Amino acid sequence: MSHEFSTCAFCPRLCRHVCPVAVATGREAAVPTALMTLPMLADQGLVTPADALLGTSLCLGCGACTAHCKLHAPVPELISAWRREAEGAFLPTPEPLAPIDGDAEIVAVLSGAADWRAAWIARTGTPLAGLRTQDELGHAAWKAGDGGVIGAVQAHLQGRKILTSSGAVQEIAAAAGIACERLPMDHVQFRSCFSARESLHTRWPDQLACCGRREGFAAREPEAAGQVARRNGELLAERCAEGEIGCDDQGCADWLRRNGVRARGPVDMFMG
Amino acid sequence: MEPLSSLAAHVLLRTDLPDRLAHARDLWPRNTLALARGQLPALPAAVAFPQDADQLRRCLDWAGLHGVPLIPYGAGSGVCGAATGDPGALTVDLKAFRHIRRIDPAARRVHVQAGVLGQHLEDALARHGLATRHSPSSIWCSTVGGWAASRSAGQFSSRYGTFPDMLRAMEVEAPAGRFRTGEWAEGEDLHPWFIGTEGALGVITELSVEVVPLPTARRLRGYRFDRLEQAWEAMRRLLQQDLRPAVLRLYDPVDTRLAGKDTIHKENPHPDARSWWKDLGQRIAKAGTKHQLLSLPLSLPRLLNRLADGVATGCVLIAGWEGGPEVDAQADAGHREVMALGAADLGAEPGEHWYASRHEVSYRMAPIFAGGGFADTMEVAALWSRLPALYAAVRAAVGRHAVVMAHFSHAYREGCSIYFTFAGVGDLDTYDALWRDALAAAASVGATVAHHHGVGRMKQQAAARELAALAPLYHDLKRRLDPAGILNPHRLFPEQQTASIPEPPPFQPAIDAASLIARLDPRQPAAERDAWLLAAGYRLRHPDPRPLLHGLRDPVPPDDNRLIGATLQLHGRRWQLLDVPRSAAGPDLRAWLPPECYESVTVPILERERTV
Repeated sequence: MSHEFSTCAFCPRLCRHVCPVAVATGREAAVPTALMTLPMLADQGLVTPADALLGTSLCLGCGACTAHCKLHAPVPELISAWRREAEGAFLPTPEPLAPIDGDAEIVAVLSGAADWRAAWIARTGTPLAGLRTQDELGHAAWKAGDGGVIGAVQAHLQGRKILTSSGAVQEIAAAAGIACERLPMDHVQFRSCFSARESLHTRWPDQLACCGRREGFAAREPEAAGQVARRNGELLAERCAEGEIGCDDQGCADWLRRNGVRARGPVDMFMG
Repeated sequence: MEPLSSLAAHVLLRTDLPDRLAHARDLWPRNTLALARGQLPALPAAVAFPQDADQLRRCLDWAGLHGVPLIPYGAGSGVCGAATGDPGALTVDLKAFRHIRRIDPAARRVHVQAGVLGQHLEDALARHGLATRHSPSSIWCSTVGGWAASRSAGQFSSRYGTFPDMLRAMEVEAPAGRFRTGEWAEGEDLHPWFIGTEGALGVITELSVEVVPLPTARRLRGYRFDRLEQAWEAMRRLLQQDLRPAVLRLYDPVDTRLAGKDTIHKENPHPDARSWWKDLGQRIAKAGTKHQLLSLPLSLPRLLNRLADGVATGCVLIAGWEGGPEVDAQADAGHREVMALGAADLGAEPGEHWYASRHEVSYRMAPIFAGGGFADTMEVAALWSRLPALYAAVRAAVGRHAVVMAHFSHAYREGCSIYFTFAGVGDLDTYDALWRDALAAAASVGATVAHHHGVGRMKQQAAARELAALAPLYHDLKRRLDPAGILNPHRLFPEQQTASIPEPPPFQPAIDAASLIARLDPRQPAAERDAWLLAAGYRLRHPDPRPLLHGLRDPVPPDDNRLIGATLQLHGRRWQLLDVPRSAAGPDLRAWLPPECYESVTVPILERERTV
């Protein structure tokens, strides 16, 4: 029996209340205890790998459970590693990196619909190159274990700096050793889970927990991810003036809006 | 399985294995042990997620029409298997009932839906400066509805009562219709029947709970006693002197030693044995990675328990008060009381440490299962006068099968709960034999077999014997509310031979001085009754100018009691309703039976010089 999984599988659900998916969906299947039971049983031949893959798909990868756990059980990492081993096809393929537009030292990584590059140049007078990305420089693939992402980004940026509105891009930059700044966030009430991972907490004393978008979860489990967005939107709205959420990640703000939550991100604020 | 599609058209259903498997388990360690031995639990056919009462009604109607067992499911924190074990059932998850509808600070009430997680309710109340202060160790993974259904008790029950004591009203969906209870009742009030019947009579959907201001002051302190008897006496006096501690936790010598709570005695009277025990604790803690080291010591429980008796010395009591400005005076008075009994003062640290980590003890269980063993807990309760016998009997019974330790918490003026923790190795037969012996031992000394974990599948026989007098009443009501018998079938009050349950001895007025209770004739004129008590040196804790029969349901504060037990004339014979301050062995009908059936009642008393 794999100790890594069995300790969680036999745990009395002590992180149930902090798992954003379990809280938002109400599904016991999403509780880390249940998630970690499946690889254990699959390894023993008691459930099929297909069922275990189906169930473990409910892990959002946010790490709220690990942050809460007294034993610091690395649930997302273990789930992700098991899924990679059980089904290599699980590994998302990163999008090819687009050409960089312009030759400035700072590159605006444009991960959303809005092109704020021109506004930035006009307002600050600072030259700014641009790089469009559909998947935040391959963030989901990298989190799923594709080590090639970091090298590709390093080679593509060639020592230039990044300006971004995305916490995921910021994570990639940090891993690649690339200098990275975020769009100004003067009026943002909540830091996203990308930028506040150490203090992740589903009960949100003062920061945002995961809204359901991260690491490919919205694409993999759209129903559950939408529930997470709506549930967290409700709770966050209680803590915001006029009920509108200000999130420091534009991608998360867009995702929250798509799920009916009043939210604005740094690009919205920058563009007015 | 009957056509689920007719239900799926109206209610979200999940039939994938991960959802069915997750809902097939609760926290019953027997289920965990079975899983560790490679046995999958019985799976429900589907899990339903009704979003409102109308959808829940559709589930009830569908299950009734097709005769399919319907298992209400909160967050699955039950440790007796109440929500599991029905292959092909429809499990109904209630967590979509997740709204806190109204917080009313003036009325000190919160109207909350049944599927709200306990911690989330306390967080929401705290933003209004309020709390229930119901704090079970399952608060992270249990729902408010589950607290009511299983008669939950929290870590501060000595001050605030158990959850039923703070529960003021409910809305319940039964197959026969919707019922409002308590303060919401219109006409017939079935309030006590829905508390502790674990979803077998109806599905709790809405609750009104009494709340209190968040404590602004807290004082916690640890004490060490040489002997358990001294510490029991200290606990009893603190309660009976009305000093109202919020926390009273006494760890028996083994628990004190293993958990390292005896921090004041740095000297080591038995160095070799002590280090051996410490090593065992570390082995258990590391069991997950070194499980081969665990098997040997836990497979010798008799030897280990005997060794514990020889090695363990002293026991630690944690006492705490919380509330407002009155706390300092109460804590000071309590401190004097405890020290007068020969305690050593350990200072604030043991109490503060316990408070900070009070929900973390459950982390210790998983590594034991992962290491190939099993662990479980048993909560029983008895009058103070029966507590030493209960401790000895259960410890001996469990000790034949597993390493056992205990702590005493949930203390009341009249008695106290004992929480046994045990760990062993073996298969399900070993586990079942342990529980059979332990429950029989508890019942043999007049204890309740469940203080706050409920009945479920594990304690159904023992609880049914304890409440045998109520079985016909329960079955009558079950037929009325759930005519198809779909709700949690075959849990409470299974068929049994009640003739084997002896009648109580003939009634004689009596006083139990240690437990401060008296057994009295409920029809005796007040003057005559009070004179008899006075002559014996006592008076009623709750004075009443009427015969006791008239005041059985009169309210008392949440941490107090009006009726401890009774003898009954019911169904053509005499019965004992156990004398115990609190129990979770099914519903509490002590004060709700037809007046004519009470032969005697057991009520709290005071020494005649004392005032409340």
